[in-house]
Amino acid sequence: MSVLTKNVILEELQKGKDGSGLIITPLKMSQIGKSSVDLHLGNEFIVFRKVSLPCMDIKDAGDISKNVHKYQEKVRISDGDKFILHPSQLVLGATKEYIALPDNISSIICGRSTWGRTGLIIATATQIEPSFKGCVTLELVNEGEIPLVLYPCLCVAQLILYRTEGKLSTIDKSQYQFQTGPEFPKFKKDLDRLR
Amino acid sequence: MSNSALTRIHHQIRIELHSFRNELKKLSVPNYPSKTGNAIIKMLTDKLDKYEETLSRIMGDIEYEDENIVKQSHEKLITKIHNPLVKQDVKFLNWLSKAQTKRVPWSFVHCAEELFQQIIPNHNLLIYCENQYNYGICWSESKTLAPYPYYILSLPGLHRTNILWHTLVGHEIFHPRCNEFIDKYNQKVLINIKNTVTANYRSISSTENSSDLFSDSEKKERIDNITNITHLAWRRAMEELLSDMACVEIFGPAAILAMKAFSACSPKNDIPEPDNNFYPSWQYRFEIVWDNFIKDNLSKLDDVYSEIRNHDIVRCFKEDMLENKRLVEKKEGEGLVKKHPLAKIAYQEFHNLIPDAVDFVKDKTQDVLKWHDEKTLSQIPKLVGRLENGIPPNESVAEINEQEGIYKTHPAVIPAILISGWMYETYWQEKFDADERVMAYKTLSRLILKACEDIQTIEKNQ
Repeated sequence: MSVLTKNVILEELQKGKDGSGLIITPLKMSQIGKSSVDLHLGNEFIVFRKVSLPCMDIKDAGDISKNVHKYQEKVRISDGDKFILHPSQLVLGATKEYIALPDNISSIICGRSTWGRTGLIIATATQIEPSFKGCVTLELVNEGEIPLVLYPCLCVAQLILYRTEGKLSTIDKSQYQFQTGPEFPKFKKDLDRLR
Repeated sequence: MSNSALTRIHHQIRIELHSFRNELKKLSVPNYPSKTGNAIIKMLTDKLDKYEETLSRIMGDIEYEDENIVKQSHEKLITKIHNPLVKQDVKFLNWLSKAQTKRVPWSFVHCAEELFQQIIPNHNLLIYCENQYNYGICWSESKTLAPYPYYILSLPGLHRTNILWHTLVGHEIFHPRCNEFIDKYNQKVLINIKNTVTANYRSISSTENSSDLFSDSEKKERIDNITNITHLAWRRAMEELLSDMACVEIFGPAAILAMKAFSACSPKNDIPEPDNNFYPSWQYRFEIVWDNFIKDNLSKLDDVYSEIRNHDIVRCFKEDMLENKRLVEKKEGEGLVKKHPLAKIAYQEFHNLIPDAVDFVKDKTQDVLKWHDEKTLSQIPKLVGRLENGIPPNESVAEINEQEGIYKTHPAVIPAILISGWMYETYWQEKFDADERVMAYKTLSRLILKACEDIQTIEKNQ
């Protein structure tokens, strides 16, 4: 596994200029660091409706996905407006950037230490598979003791890209492919495994 | 007028004002996709303050012993507070509740507002989704919205995220501008219509088998009535067709395909007649816009076709456009407008004004970026390529230079986004059943909405 440096990231972006290959969009030069790309918080959030969701049981996945509006509320915050994340609260957000990885590049998303020091965790499932396309859902948790004010477009995450070895025989399409904002969990695969 | 009647109306109005304020407070909590929602809430709140001042003043000035003053006060309470509140202001509560971010295609709202500003500068637009199968606009000169300085645009609620259809906002936004043209020619057309109706009175009336039964004064009255009806038919035709022209002038093939998709469930060949308010048939509308705005510009897409890598997309789009061409060349719509005797007169007047109408539309949209502008055309192939690869068609990356650290990009323009979307849609129509790699329509819409959302960020980044 080799982490891509700035020059290689730019080379890969150059290959993806026409719509295939590595794409991170929207993007400006200053987001690209020595071996990572800064990512921003998007405008949409999914907040769980605790009063309607007694517990999350994947055996009820069918019911949850059918009645998704009962269990979640999508909130859209305009640029400059506040979103307050309370201690121990989990909400789903997404990166402003839409990412497309070619089939030989994988990536890891991680929080920025500045925000980590406030107690903000941005992602727990940090691996992004090759061939993924979409905005990355962020599992935002405030592990600190005081409420945090979040704003859309805050630079909260970093993307570290690395080249994979070997070739993918078949492309396993992610169930979260082409998402343009946060997505509610889909338990289909987990449920199939449990059966 | 008794004192108790006055007291009753006073209490009723207090309840109405209180409830209205409560509703406004509730509506101020949710998010709106632009500043217009909150600006309207502020305007209504200020208005409520004034109503309350007026209420206190009227009630303070009452001398209960003077029956005339009591009667006048009662009248004032109704005309100055109750009527405007329940007949005008209350409409905004419905619009605002349906204009909240989660109820509208929020990514697209700023694009529609920008287009609106270019066509009607210095005014504000509120966009909401209505649970009806139609697009519509009302504004301060219309009976529905007088006297507010806002324009209210409605989109069909069930098609909220169906961004490709929203190309039709180009038609709605142009509606308020049509009066300038109509007013300019109104008198002349009215005289022409009256002359034609008078000259053809016998043949027009003979359809009703009644022309000989009327006296001269009755005949004159009937001519006036027929003239008025025909004149209204002309106004209707003029307004709809001018708005179609503007939409097609801006969005070109995207507008044609959006009109076609939206009208897919309606009859194409309706005869304009009193029952449908002399509304022009879809077939006639296609013929007018195709002949005057598409036919001569379509060859400008030749260079675009040659740059699109997926020849299947080009083939599907060309086939669709060819089908449209065949459809309009039949000129069935032109025949339909002549079938009703009054529509025949009204649409002849419209027909005579087509060259002036085309010039008017071009003049009023001169500040708007159009589909046949070089900037738009040059972006389309790249945007189609992005969509084909499941990427939002939000930008056209010009240069990435790793040595010099250059990342140069241009935000996509709305006509290019919509045309590339429609190009891909024609391909999608052919493939989605047969090829599982083709994305779902919902995904296509989401990617285009994401593109609309991103263009502001890309502009800021530059």
